[in-house]
Amino acid sequence: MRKEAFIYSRYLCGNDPSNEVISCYESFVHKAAFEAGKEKCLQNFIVTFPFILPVLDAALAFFRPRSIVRKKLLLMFALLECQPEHADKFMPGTDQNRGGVYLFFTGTWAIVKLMAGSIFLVFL
Amino acid sequence: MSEPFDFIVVGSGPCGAIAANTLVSGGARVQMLDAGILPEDAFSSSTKTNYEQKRKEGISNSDYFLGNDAADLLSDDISTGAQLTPSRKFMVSRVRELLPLLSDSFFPMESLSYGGLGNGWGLGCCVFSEAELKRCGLDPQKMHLAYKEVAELIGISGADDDAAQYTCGKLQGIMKPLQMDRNASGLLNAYTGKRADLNRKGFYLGRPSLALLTEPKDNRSAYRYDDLDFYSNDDTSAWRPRVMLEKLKGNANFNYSGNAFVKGYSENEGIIRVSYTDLRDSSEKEAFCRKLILASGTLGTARLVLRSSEKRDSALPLICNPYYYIPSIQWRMIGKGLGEKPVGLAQLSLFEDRDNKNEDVAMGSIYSYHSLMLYRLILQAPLDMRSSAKIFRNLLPALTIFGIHHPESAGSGRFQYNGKAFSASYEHNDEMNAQVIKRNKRFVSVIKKLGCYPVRTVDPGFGASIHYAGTLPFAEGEEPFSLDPTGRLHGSKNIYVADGSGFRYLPAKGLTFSLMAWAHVVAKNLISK
Repeated sequence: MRKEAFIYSRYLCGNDPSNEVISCYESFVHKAAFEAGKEKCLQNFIVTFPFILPVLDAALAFFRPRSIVRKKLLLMFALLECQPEHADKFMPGTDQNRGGVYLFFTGTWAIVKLMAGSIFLVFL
Repeated sequence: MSEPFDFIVVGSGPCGAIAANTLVSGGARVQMLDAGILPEDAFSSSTKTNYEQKRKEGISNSDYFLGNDAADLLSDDISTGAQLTPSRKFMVSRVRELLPLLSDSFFPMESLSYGGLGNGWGLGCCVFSEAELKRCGLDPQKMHLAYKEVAELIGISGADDDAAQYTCGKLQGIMKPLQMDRNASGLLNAYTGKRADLNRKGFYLGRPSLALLTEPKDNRSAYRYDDLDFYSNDDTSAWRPRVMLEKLKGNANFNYSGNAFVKGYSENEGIIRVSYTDLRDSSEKEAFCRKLILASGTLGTARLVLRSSEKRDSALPLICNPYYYIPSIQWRMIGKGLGEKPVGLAQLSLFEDRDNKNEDVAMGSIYSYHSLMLYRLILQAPLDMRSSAKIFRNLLPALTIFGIHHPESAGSGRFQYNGKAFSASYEHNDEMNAQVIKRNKRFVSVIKKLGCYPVRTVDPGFGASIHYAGTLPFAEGEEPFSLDPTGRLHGSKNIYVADGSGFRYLPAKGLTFSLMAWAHVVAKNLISK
């Protein structure tokens, strides 16, 4: 689970998680009591090939929004968002001034990832 | 038996607090019985900071912003109360255990906390028009006087603008309104440009009146613009029942009994016996008074009255405002900041008064979605989380929530007790549904005219408005389960109801201020006797 926490944290904010985040993440996952064995293959694949996570996440968001991987990512996202050292990455800042064009390209890139991820998802 | 109190007030919410205050001010001896559930740290953590500092400073904020329960985070539950922030969760603590309600069509929020639902009140204050008061069964003259007196007591800020006839903007002595953030200013500017057209269609936009101080008053400080409106409980600029109760506790004529979960009452030879469970040790106890005032909320009072009645299996009527919310994007705000003073409370109110009669008015409260976390939004887009985060981070200053309340007449709901459990049902016929849908469409059309893109219309179900009334409607004759014009429960001699149970109609305008005014009317009448 520790390795998983590192992979998710790096994916979501580009940094390794602090010990506190890891411990909270483990505790939350434990409390959530996800169904054992479900999506095991998918989770193992992500741990083995972490660079695939962005495209798999895109595909899961569209085809399996309630998947365990998405729920675990949400847990990590919420924990990272609460960390003061990462606050700037989650709050609207003065550095933005990015309008519709930025949003359009972000959305388009997300669709490309979705298409790539859906190919992987067929086999997992 | 100890010397009975002059009055026992059941419940510490806005109605209970106001009723007790009016009675004590009139020289009566008052005992308040209240479950008063309150975690030790609920009001102790002082947040002399603001939202941005709180997010960026310190070590970790996961307890403050997230709580310690993953179940909430992963739940798809959109029921009333499920979205409370961790520091407000105490409001619904033990409710499922002590106030179970069976229903598949009505999902209310009830509270057993110290201060009741007043702890999470959005602070909006509106006055009902004469026509609306009459339809409710209330005396307009007494209520208008009570509005003034309660406003003076709690402190209200607002503006005399286009919405003033629906809010408290026309009341004398109200404080200047809150400063708006850029999102709200943008909407108001758009409205000003299209004012004539929108007014012709019966829509009026203005500043809401809030039970929030913008200037210091009675040892209470002015609002700090800390943007922690969904989190902080220690700020006294917002009027909460706690503000009044803490002051009352210093009065020798007031006795607050917490941990008292009232189960029922009986009236005999001028003395009322109130039975309750002491929540500390589950022991059964009794208290005695000459007059009993029930102020535990429409549903809480209905439970007590049914439990104490011989006809306990009767079905009571029930009304609540249909409520919908419309998350919208204000185009011109994308990628911009909200300015230096963002506010989580309602900053604008949009009223639809089609006939210009100030009757059957619908109300939209407008909020900037700023101080709530991204993780609450992130799953709303079917995109990978990184892209979603980037998009929502840019959309956040532009995200505007329109909460639409619809007026409601009697005849839609039922509240029942079978001797073991309480149940409720709520439904609209096709005509009522069509009316609500048409009104929502008109609001959507105005939202577009104000330069916003309405993403969708969310129906959280009956009960989500947290505005309930009409279980013991006002009636002229001595009908069972009804109230006389003074709030006395028919069939009783000295049992009064000081919450919304008697209202036969629910205007869409914010209800709490009118409930408080009604509680004041009931208590004032009893004192004058």
